[in-house]
Amino acid sequence: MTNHWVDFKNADVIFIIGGNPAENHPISWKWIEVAQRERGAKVVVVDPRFTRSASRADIYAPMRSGTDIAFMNGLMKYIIDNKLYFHDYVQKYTNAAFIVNDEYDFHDGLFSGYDEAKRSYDAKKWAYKKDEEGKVIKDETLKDPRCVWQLLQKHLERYDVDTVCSVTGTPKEDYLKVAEVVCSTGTHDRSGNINYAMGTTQHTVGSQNVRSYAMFQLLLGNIGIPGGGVNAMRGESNVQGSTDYALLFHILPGYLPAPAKATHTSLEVYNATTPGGYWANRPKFMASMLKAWFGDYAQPENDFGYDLLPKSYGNHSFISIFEAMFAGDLKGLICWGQNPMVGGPNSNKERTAMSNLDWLVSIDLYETETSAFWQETEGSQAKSADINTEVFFLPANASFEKEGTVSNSGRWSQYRWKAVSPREGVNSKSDLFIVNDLALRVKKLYEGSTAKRDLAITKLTWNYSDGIGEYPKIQRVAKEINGYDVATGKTVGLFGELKDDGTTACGNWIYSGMYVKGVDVNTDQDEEQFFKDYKCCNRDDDDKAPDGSKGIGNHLNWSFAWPANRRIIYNRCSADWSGKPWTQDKANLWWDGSKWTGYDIPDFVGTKAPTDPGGTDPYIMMNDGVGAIFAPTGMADGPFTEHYEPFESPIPNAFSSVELNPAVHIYDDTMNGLSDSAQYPIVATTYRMCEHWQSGVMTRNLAWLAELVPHMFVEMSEELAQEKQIKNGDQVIVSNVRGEVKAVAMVTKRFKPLNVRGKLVHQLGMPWNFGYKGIVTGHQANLLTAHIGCANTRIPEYKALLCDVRRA
Amino acid sequence: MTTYTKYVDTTKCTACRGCMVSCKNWNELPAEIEPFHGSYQSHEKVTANTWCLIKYNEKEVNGEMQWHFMKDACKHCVDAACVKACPQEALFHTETGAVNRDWDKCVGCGYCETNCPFGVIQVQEYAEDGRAIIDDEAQPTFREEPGNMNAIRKSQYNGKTVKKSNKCDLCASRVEAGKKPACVTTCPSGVLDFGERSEMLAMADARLAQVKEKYPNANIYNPDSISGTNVVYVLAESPEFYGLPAKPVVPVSLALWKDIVQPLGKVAWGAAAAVIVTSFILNKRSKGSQHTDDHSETKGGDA
Repeated sequence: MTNHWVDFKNADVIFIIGGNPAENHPISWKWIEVAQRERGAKVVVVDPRFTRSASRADIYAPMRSGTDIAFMNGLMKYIIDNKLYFHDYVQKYTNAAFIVNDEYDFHDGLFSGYDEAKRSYDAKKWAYKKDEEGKVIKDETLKDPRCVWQLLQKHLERYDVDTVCSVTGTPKEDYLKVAEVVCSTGTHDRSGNINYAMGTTQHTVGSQNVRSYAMFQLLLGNIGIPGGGVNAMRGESNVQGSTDYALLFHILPGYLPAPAKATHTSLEVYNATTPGGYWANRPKFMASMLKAWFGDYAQPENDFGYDLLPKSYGNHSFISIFEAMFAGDLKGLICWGQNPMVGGPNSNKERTAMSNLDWLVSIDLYETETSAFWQETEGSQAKSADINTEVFFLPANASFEKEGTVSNSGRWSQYRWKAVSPREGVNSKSDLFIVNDLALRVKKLYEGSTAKRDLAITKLTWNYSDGIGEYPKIQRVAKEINGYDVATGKTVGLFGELKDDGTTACGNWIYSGMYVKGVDVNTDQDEEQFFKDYKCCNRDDDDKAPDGSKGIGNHLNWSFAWPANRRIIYNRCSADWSGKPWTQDKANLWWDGSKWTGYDIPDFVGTKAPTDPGGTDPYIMMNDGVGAIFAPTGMADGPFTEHYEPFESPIPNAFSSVELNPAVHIYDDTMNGLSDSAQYPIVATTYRMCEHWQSGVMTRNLAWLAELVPHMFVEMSEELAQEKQIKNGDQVIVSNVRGEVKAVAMVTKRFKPLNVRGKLVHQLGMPWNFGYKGIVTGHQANLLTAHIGCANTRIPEYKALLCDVRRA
Repeated sequence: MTTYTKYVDTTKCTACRGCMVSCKNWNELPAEIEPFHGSYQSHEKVTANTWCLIKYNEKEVNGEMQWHFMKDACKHCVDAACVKACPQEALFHTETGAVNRDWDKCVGCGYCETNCPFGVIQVQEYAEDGRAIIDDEAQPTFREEPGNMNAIRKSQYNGKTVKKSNKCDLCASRVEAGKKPACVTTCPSGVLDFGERSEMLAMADARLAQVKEKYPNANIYNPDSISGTNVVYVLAESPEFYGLPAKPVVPVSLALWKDIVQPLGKVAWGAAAAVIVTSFILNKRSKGSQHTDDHSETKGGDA
C-alpha cells in the first residue's frame, strides 16, 4: 500500500475493484465504516458478483472478469473528457508534460518495439525525448502532440463508455453511476482510495491492471495524500513481509533485483544497471547486504562475495517451477507453509509434476493435500503405485505458538509475542528454528571443504544461535536486518548511513531504523530491554504527530513502518509546490520555512526546501522524480494500459485484433489445453471466503471455522441455473479442458448474466479454499485453472477462465 | 441494578461471522456441520450448540440487489415467554435484565422451546457430566478436539443422559466480571455494542436517523408486545424480511398460567384453571413439538 489501513478513514471515496475487503480483509471494514459514518464517504464496489462488500457499499456495478483495463481506461477517458483531473498535480507531479521519443507508437494492440518471435518488447522505443545535455524535454502547457498527456488522450480515444460497457458487460447506467462518484476526487479538498487484491493481479494483464489504478490515481492527484493511494490489500498477514524479505525469485531483500547469470556477470556490471532517484544508492544497499551474508570473507577485492550469490538462469516463478518438475528437471521440493495441490493452478498437471520428485519436504501445521498428494483419497486422483516420491513432514508452529514480526499491507512491521506453547507431543517447531537448524546442519555437512563451489555455504555467516538445536536469538536477527557498523558493532540509525565499501552490514535496507541502539549491541541483552529498543514492539496507540499534536491516524508510535517509519509514501504530494497543504483537511506534511513538518515522516530529504533543486519532485524512487502516467521502463507489456482478453475468453477483443496480452509467456500445452469457447462458454472466476483462509489448511481443520462454510459450492445466476435445469442445492459438475470440479450449486440473484458485445455471457464463481484433507473437504477449484500468467510477474490467471456446468 | 442491553446495528454488518466463532469459543460450544441450506448461511436456525447465527437474506428491489444480515440469538425479552413457560423456574431474569438458565433446575421439558416466539432456545441431550451429545450419523466428521471438547459422539457414549435447554446467556460470566459479551468484543465493523439500556436505545435512535436516507424501511426492533427486548436492533428492512415476528407475543394461555393461575397457588383450583391448562397443552400440540407428550405428563404431575 502507498497508504495504510487506518488511513482508509480519511477517504471521501473508497473504490473497491479486484478485492472484497469485507470478506477477505474484515478488519479493514472497521476503517471503511468510519469513513462512511464520519466523512459521509461513498463506497463503490465493482466485481463480477455482488459480494458482502457490495452489500454495505453505496454503489455496486458488475463487470466481466478479466476486463479491468477496459473499465479503468474508460474511467480515465471520462476524467479527461469531463475535465475532472487535478490539473496542478498532473502538470507538476507526473510525467504528463514529458515529450516521448518519435519512435514510440501504438497500432492495433501493439506498441512499437514488439518482437513476435520472442513475444517481448524492446522498451528502448518508449524512451523520453532528450535535449543535447541529456535532459528530458517537457511542455508544461501539455499541448505538444508528443507529450505524455496528449499521447494518453490519443491512446484512450477508443475507450468511450459504450464500447467499454459492451466489453465489460456493465450496464451503462451503472457504469456512469460509478464514474460520477469515483472520478469526483480530482479536487484540492477531496481524496479517493483504490483498494484491490488478487482479483486485480491474478490475470495475464495483472501488472497492467495495477498500473491502470496508479494512472487513474495520478490523474486525480490521489497519491501521497491522506485518504488516497493505490492500496494492495495483502492476502496473508505477512505477505508484505515475505516480499520485503525476498521470498520471490526475482528479488533480493529490500527489492534489490536478483542477479541473472546472463546479464549480471559481476558486481560492477550489476551496479551499472543502477537506476536514478533514490535508487542511486543501491550499490550501498547491495554491498551492505553481501557484507551481512558473507562477513569477513566479503571484501572489496572479491566483490564482497557477489560471485557466491545464486544467479537466475531463466524464469523461476511458481508455474515455471512446476513446469520444470513436470519435465523431470527438478528432483526435490521444500513446500514451506505452502499447499500447491490446492493453491497452485492446474492441479492435475501439478500433481503429475510432483510425482516426478525424488523427495518432497512439507512444513506445515497439518497434513496438507500436498504432503498427501500421493494418497488415493477421494478427490486426489493420485495412483499411489506409480509414485516413488519420498515425503518428509515437519510439523510447524502456528503464529500464536511463536514470536516474531508480521508486516501488514501498510508496511507496518508489528512484533507479536508468543501466546501459547506448542501442543505437547507433536515436536512442532517455529519457522525460525527450522530454518536456523537446516542452515547449520547443511554448513556442518560442508565443514572443512575448500572447494570453490562450496564457498556459498562455507563462507555464509550464520551465527543466530549458539549451535545446532539451540533456539536462535531474535536480537541477533534484528541487528543484522537493521544494519550496523562492521568495525564498532554499532547499529546504524537509518539506511542513509550505509556504505558501499564494506564498512557497514545490513540484511534488508528498507527495515533499517527499526532497531537502533547507537552503541555496540549486546545481542544477548535481556528481552525486556530488547522490546523497548525494537520499534516493531512499539504499542503506543495514542495517535500523535511528532510535535505532540493530535494525529490524522498515522500512529507513528505504533510498530515500525518501512521506509524510515513513513506512513504515507510519496507524501511530498500532500503539499503544493510552494510547500502548503492543498487543503487543511488533507494536510499531512508542510514546509515551515526551514524544514518539513506535519503528521508523518517526510518521504524525501526533510530539509529540502520547495525552492531547492528537486524540491518539487515528490516521487523519490522514480528516475524522474515524478509519477509515471507513461511508463518508459519497467513494464514488459507497454507504457500505457491496453485491454486484452484473458487466455480463455468467450468473445473477440473489441479494441484490437490482438486477443491475448502479446508479452505473455505461453507454456507447453501438455495437460494445459485451451478451453474452446463454443464448448465452454461460461466465464468462471475463483475467490476466497471470509471463513476459510487460503488453501484451507488452517481453517478446514478447525471445527468452528469448518462449520461456517462446510461445502464446496459454485455460485451461479438464476438464469444460468434455469438454462442448465439446475436447482439450488443440486450437485453439479463444472468442467473444462483441464479438469472437472464437483460442487453444490448455489443459485443466487447476486450473479447476473451480462450482455457482452451483443452476446449473453454467463459467469459463475467458486471458492478455491477446498481440498481433500481436513474436517470439511471438497474439490479444488484449481483443477480448472491453467498454467498461464501475467506478462510481468507470471502470477497465474486464476480469476478468468472458461468452463461449462451440468447436473452431476 | 442497572439493566444492560446489547445493540445490534444490521446496517453495518458484513456477515464475517466473527461473532459466531467468538461465541463458540467463550461458551465452549461444539461445532455443528449442517447440510447445505441454499446460501452462505451455515445453520438453519439457532440451536443449543449454536447460540449465535448470522442469517443471510437477499432480495431485489427495483432491480437493485439487497443483501442483509442479521445476527440471530436470544433476544432477552423483558416479558419472556420462556421464563413464563418454565415450570421449574430454571429460566429467570438476572439483575441486569438478561434471561439466564439454571442448569440444575432444568428438567428438559421443552416448554421454553415450544413457546419462544423467536425459536432461539432448544433442548438437547447431554452426558451426565454436561458434555453435549453429538449424533455422529448427522455429523460424520465430528472430532473431539479443541473446541469440541465439551461434546462427545453418540456412538461412543453409553452412560446416562439428561435433557437440558440451552441458549445465549448474554455472556453472564463476562458481564459479572465487567466485560462485554464475547460477540461484541470481536465485531470489526461496529455492529455490536453493549451497555446501559438507555444509552443503547439512544444510540439506536441516533443511528436510525442517520441511515433512513439509505435504508428508507429502517426501524428499531425492540417490540412493545413483549415490553421490549434487551437485544435491540437497528434493522435495515422490516422485521419480517429477516424472519422476525413484527409483534412477538407471549401465548395467552402462558400469560394466564403464569400471571394469574400460578400465583393463586395450589389453593384455588377450579374449572376455569383446568380449561386454561388444557388450552395450554393443546396450544403446544398444535405446534407439533416432539416433546409434547412427555410434557403433558409432567404438566399433569405439576398441576
